Amino acid sequence: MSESIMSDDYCDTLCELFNIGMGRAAASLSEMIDEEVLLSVPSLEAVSYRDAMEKLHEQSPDPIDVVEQYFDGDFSGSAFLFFGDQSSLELVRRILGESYASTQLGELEQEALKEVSNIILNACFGCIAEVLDCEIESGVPVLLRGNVGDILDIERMHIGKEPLVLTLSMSFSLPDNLIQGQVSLLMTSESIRKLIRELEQYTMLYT
Amino acid sequence: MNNCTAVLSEVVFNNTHCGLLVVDADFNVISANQWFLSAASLEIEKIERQSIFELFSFAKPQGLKRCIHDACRFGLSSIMSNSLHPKLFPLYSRFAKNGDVMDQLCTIKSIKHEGTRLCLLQIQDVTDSSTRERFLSATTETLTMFSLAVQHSPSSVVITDAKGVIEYVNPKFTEISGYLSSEAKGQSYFKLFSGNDEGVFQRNVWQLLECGQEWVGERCLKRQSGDKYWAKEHIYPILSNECIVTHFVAMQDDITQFKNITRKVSYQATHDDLTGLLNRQAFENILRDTVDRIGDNEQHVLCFLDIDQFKIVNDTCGHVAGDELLRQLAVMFSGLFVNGETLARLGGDEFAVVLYGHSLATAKVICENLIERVADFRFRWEENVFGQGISVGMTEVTSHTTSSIEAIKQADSACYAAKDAGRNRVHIYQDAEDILVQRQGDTYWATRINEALENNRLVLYAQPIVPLQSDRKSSYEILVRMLVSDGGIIPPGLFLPAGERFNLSHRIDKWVIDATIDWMNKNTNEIGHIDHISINLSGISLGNEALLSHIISVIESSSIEPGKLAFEITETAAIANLTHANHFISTLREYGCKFALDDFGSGLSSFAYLKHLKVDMLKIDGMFVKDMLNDPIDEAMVRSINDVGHVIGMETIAEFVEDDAICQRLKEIGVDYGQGYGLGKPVPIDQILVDSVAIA
Repeated sequence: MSESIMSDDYCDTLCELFNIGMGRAAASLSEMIDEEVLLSVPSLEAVSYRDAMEKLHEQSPDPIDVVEQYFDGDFSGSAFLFFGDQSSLELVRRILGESYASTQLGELEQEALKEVSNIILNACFGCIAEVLDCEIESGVPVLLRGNVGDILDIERMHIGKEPLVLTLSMSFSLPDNLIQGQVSLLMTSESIRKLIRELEQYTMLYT
Repeated sequence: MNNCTAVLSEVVFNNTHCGLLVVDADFNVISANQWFLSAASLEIEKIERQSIFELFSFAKPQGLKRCIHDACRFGLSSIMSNSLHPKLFPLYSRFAKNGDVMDQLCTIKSIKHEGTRLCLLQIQDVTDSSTRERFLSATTETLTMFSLAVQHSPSSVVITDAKGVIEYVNPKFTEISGYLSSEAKGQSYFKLFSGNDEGVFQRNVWQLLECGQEWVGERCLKRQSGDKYWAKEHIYPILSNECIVTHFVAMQDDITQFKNITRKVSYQATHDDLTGLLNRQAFENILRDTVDRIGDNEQHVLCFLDIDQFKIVNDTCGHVAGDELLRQLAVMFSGLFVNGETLARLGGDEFAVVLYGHSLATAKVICENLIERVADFRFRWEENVFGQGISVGMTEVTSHTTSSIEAIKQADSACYAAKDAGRNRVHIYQDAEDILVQRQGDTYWATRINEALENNRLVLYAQPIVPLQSDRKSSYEILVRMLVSDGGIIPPGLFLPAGERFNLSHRIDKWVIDATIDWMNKNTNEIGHIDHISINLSGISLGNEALLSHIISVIESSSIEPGKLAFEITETAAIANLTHANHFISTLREYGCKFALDDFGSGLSSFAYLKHLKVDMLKIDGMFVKDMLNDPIDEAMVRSINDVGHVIGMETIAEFVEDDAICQRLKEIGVDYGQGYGLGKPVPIDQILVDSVAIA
């Protein structure tokens, strides 16, 4: 059982915030590809790094495509967008309108996947930054392929000993596809504490 | 920042090999580097402090606005890829030949300058990599397609290096050969199928392949399991641009099943279903080859074999029995011809064999031996046992033989002659003249018969059938003669066979019947002392429905007693047309007419079908009668036919009673009647009235 770090109320609040962001991201994507795209975050949880890793290993035992964007500023950490199995390939091909059968992402496809992920992740960041009135500086998106363990390596990310993980399950639906993905925000423990404090203020002010 | 660094920064800014554009939160241009300005063909003075959305037109400006906003407001970075935003800015490369807008990858970053967040757009020219990427994807797509085509090919595909060592096998190869990809890779393609045996075949194929040529053929190969299979194989080299062999491709199709079917079909096409012997077509082909290739000193003999009693078995016991008889005889023939002779069933009860390297004389010995073997053979079907005989026609096949068709004609006509001569014998085809005379004779007589029928030149003769026991009445057999213009009389032996061959028998029969009944009608009062008058019917008449109705109407319109009228049919004719014969017999017997089975015993058939023929009298073949005093077997035959006849309730008549001694013996045996020169010669019919008066 993963230990809850944030109360259900805060989780719900955050979930709502992310859904606002997703609405914007979906609008951007729809405009870009001239098709209706729906994005939603049905659930969210905050767990310890260890619990999160366990779960991710279980979900994706094979190498996967992940888009990473680090962030810094009032909050710091790294955001990851995961696509299971062939979902990334499917998503990009659907967006680019391609049909051929290679199992590898080409360079153009990688760029497109990064951009789509960038739009989603920026929407999340933007939303938090806006609502909580803070700044989140982010890096450019990077595409990684490998095992969950290698990608979410704490050493590589310089994120401190006990980072916490905010996991957003996400569904990405196109007119005839439903693609499941997941956003994981790895934050330093002080960042999450700060986030909780900000949420307290926000809740006091707006709810 | 000191001055030196500021100058350096500006130098770097303007010498960076990508476009740099700085805008503020209101999208106004703050700065642009040299690269961007020259690619856009603009000068900084003309764009400073102006909104990029006024300077440039964007297909979908919202995305860029959002990115700039995110950067200036929150510090977020974004990218805008070439695939989703093709040709974002109207930038042209100096190197572009065709004046196309360059492909761009735009990275949007937040920068802080003097406490204000600005947005830095970094634009890279990705025309080359995009082009390469597009080319690569197109190539990959094509290669993927080819690779899938090989992967899913219904043929086995193997790719080897220039030395024949396997580098790739497709799944079909594994399916056909049984070798997994991992087992096959690294092995020599040829050795995989033929072990280490470097056969001539392999060397030849290898030589061909090394010269850059391909090889196509069919081979019997071994699967991993050791099973054999037939493969249609196609091996071809792949040549480099320098015409050096780099690889070989070996394709295989498993044609084992196809081969089996072909073999089966070809067997069926050349063999007789029933007996498994060659069929007519195959036989004719072989014979044609034999005739075509025959050497000057070579000599073969073609024999036609015809089963004499086949029809009897078929008609009395049914087709199943007939088929079984043919099968058994085929087995016997196959057992006798084991030295490479070509044996075939031509159809029906006809068989043929080519005896290679034989003269007519030696072939005759072989065939006579065959006839003996067949004579010893007994065919059993349910409770019936049939003796068998064959008629054999032989002809020579030499370099003088003009064609296989000619040889077949000759053997066929010789076989016909053998049957004509009394069956169960060999007849050697006689060259041209004899047959020609015979044929001319036939035509001659056919014309004469027609003339005689039209001009009433046939006359009736009668021969007495004399009672041997007690005081029964005599009867007469009607015989026919032909009158010729010079007043001569022609015996029936000369013209009746021609009549039969030219299908005139039933007309002769009709004439005889009409004339006889007419005669009886005229002499009703004078024939009281005669038991009956007997008329011969040919086999063909038995199936003639019109003749039957004619006889009935003639009998009905005349005043004669039908009981005074008898018909004789030969055993062979009756059996050959058993169904018709029975119908004919039973119809006329209802009117009271009598029937006699003529020449009984000559057909070598069994007594079995006597049960099927409802006749009143049995005429014992004269062959047995004439020598019965000297030949105990003949006597036994007469005795047994007589006994059997009596048991079935038939009266018996012996033919060919030539003298008193025979007559005496027949009386002793108990034969009812006798007929022959010893008892009375045939005389013109009117004379029997006189004779009878004399006898009376």
